[in-house]
Amino acid sequence: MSTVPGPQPSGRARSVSQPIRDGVSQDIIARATQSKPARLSVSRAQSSNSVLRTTKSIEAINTHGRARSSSLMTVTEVGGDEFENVVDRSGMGTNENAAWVNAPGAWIMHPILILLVKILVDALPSMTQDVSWTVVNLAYMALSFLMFHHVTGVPFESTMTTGGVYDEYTLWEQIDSGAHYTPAKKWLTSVPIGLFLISTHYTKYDPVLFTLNFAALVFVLFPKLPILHRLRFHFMPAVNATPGPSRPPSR
Amino acid sequence: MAAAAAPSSSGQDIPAPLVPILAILASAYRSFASALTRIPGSPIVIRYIESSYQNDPWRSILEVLLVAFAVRTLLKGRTRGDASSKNWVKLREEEIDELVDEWVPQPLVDEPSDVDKFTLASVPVINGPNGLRVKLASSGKMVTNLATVDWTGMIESDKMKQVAIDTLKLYGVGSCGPSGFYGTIDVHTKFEEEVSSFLGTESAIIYSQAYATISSAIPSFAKRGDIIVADKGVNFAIHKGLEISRSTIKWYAHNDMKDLERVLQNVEKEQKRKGGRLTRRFIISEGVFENDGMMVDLPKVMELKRKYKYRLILDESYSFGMIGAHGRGVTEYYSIPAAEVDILIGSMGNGLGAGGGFCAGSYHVCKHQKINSSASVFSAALPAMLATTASSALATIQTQPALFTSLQANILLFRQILSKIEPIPMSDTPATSATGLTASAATPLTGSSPSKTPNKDAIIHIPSHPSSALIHIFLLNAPGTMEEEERILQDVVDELLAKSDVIVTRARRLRGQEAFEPEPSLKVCLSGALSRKETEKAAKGLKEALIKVCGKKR
Repeated sequence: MSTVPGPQPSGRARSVSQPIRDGVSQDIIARATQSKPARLSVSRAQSSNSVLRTTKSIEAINTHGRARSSSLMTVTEVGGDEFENVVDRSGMGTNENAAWVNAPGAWIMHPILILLVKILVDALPSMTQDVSWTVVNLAYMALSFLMFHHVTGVPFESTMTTGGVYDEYTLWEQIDSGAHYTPAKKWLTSVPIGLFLISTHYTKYDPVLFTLNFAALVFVLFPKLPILHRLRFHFMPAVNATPGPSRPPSR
Repeated sequence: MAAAAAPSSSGQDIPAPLVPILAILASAYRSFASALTRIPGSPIVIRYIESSYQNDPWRSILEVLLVAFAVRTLLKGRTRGDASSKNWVKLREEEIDELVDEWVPQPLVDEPSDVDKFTLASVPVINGPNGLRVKLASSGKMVTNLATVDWTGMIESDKMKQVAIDTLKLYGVGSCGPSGFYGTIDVHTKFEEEVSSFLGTESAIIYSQAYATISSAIPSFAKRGDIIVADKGVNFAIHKGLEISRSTIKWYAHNDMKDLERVLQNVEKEQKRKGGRLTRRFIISEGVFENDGMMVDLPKVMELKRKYKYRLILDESYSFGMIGAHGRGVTEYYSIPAAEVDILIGSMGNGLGAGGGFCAGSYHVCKHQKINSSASVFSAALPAMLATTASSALATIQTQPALFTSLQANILLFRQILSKIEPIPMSDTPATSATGLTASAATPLTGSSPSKTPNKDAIIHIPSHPSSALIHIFLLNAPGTMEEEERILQDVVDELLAKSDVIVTRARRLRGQEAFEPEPSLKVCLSGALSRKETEKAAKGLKEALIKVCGKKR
């Protein structure tokens, strides 16, 4: 807001009808919540000023993630602690999509399911102990990775409640509204470690099976680290997604 | 391993002072080992550790590290979640008491500021019902009211009043529930059918408040990550809807089709560059803009919307019941089928003299809102008498196109008189602002040739479309601050009421709440129910008041 003294130019163009300058990148103007002047501050508004100001603040948010362009890997942060996001997350109340992990049944389900799958795999003819434990371990790691660290959003969400605030969050990031070292998260971290120790023991420390099991464990443990919370890694990011000209198949 | 003490005790040459210490260590180890065997299940663990080692220290170290990591995780304290704020501080009991004692409640309502007092003092008080001709409480004089929206004289209509009374006797006052929860009655669905067949859309849904219609319809379709391209001059209700939707908003210069195309191209370029996922994309504009009476260039918007694959949300709250041969709005004015506008919002409060709003569109667009639009889900349904009076008004404007010809005649007369103090006197391309408004150029109103001579007596500028009954008058040579300008405009209003018995109003704004502050203006709402003489008198009075107040300022 600035007070501009002196007469307006004649043939008065309303300020909203002035095109936004090209230099102002992306012309994303923030939703009206950002840095509003105090109520009843009646002074002449130059809308272009507000355009510049709010655009800058949006850019600051977008570059918050430690983005490194033109490299093999980029890291970006999803979500954020802007006012709107915090309001939408707390406005939803209990996030039913993540609340079930705190139920007692959900804890005991992990060993039960692991044992059940173990029994089923053992029932296959000519199954050895080391292969069956490896299969169980890999299956558990794969499923928990898919469930907790790959799928994002809330499947049954209505736009009325959150406006898509959880769209980019994995289930792990939604559990206990993003708090770390909660009982559920401690349990969910311990179970794969325990399962790995048991399965390496019963695979008689075969180097190949050990490597397989350990790699699977690392895949599941890394996304659980608080330091990687809400960070996304893009390997070999597409620099230009525009498809090239299609060529007829050569023969 | 815990066995580290054992090999050192088997050494041969131990210095004398160390012997008792080693003896204590050895006995401690033995008692620890025997205690360990007494714990149930410990043989399994010991066997596990023994068989784990297998002469592979590196792997053992790895496993020990893993266990250590698990133990560390288990011992860590819980951190704060996202929902709670960053500046969370744990306070002691006495600190809490201290803060509670220190707390002084803020007043619920601030003392009115000078601007508030000035605004409150400038509201005229009338006796009796509102309408085109009202009785002033102060002097008891009958005056013409051009501050109330009444395009076709529905407020005065005796038929409407009778319909309202009959409905009141039959249905009572309220509907006592949201539309999805016992609130819907037959007259609601009847009006929905009528308005959709009137406009020629598949379906329609009604809301109980016009303001809530658009501000709730937008977030029901758009959410985070979706792209909305909106006109910078849209009204306050749309601003609120955009804010609630959390979408990415891209603004284009008010009614500037070139800028709209530029913004659409930018969005396309950006999406190609980033290769992001496909999102929902909307263009939002108004039919006749509430903030200045300009009209959207609908054919061009439709062309761009098809070219760049957007959906159009068109707010016709002001143009419905005002523009077009039968009051169907800008779609009828430009002869574009209303069904081609994806989401069309209208108001029963402005054009039909009743209350509430509606959204017309395809069957799916309307069905979706029934359970996804907060105003439709949570607010009580429209009172029955507003639905029946709206039906009655709709029937009236369908059968009496003369209402709109007399409205247009009044607008033309009014604008011709005021154009004497505009920069460019009335021509077939009026209201073309310096920044290149092309919308009105395509629609010549009269056959007179444009006069390009600048008007030396110009003191006002009217950007409103020549067919718009909503007329906003902006001052040329505005003073430095908005407050001064508001006071000048109020002087014009007071002068007009005192000399010519006509009420107009300053456009009232919530300063500090809008994304782009609209400039102060005078707002005039013309009506087809006014006689030619009354319109002429009002226009001449307004012209004289403007010359008197603003002329002396120069």
